[in-house]
Amino acid sequence: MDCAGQLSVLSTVLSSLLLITGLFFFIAGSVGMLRFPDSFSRLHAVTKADSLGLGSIVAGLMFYGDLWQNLLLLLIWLLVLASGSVSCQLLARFAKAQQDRVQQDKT
Amino acid sequence: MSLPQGGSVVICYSALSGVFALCWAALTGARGWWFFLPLCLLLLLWCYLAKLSLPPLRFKAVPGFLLFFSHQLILGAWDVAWRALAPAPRWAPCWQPYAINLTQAASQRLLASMVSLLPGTCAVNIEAGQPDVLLLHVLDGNTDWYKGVAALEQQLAWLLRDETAKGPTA
Repeated sequence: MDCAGQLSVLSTVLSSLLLITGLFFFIAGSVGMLRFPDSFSRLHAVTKADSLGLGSIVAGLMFYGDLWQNLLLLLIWLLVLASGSVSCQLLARFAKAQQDRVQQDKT
Repeated sequence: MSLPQGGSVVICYSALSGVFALCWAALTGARGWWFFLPLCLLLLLWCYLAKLSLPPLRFKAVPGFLLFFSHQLILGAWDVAWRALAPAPRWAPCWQPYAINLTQAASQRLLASMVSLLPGTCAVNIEAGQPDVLLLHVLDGNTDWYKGVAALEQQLAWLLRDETAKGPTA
C-alpha cells in the first residue's frame, strides 16, 4: 500500500484473484448442496468448499487491513474451520442415528 | 484426557486463557472485558472439572502437519467443487469403516473432526471396539480414500506427544 492508502496494481490483482477464487468455491459448495443426492453428501459440499472459500476471501481481504485486523481475520477463519468440521461430524452423526431409527421402524 | 500435573497446570491453563482472550477479542472487537473475566474463569473451571486441556505437542512436527493439512484442505475443496460442477454425476456415496490406530480418545476425536476436511470423506461416529472404528461417509467409493485418512492419522501420531509415531495397519 502506498502513502495515499491505495493498493498497488499487483496487490489489487492478487486480492481480486483470491476474492474470485473464494467466490468460486462458495458457488461450487452451493451447487453441491443442490445437486448431491443425500444429506451426508451435501455436508461434504458445505464443509470443504466453504472452508477454503472463506479462507480465500480472508486472504484477499488481508490486502486492505492492518496487522491487527489481519490477525483477527485469520483467527475468525480458523474458528470457522474448527466449528465447521466439528458441526459437520455432529450433524452427520445425528442424521445417521435418524436414518438407522427409520430403518429399524420399517423392519 | 489426562490432567496435566504440577507446574504444567499453570502453563496449560494460562495458554488456554490466552486462546479464550484472543477469541473474545476477535469476536467482540476487544470490548466487554469485564464480562469476559468471569466467563473465562467459568470456562477454565469447566475445563478443569471435565479434565480438558491442550494436548502436548511435538513442536518439530507442527510445520509438517500444517503443510500437510493445508494441502489436503485445498485438495478436498477442489475435489468437491469439480464433482459439484461436473455436468455428469461424479459421486458414488457409501459407508466405510476405518480401524483407528491412535490410542487416546482425544486424538481419535481430533482425527474424526479433521477427516471431514479431507478429500471425499466425512466422519460420522467412533464405534468402540478392538480396535476402535471410525465410521466414514465417502463421497465416491471408487477413489482411494483410505490413503488420505491413514496419512492424516500418521501426521497426528507424529504431532501429538501422547501417541506413538507408528504407521497405521491396513
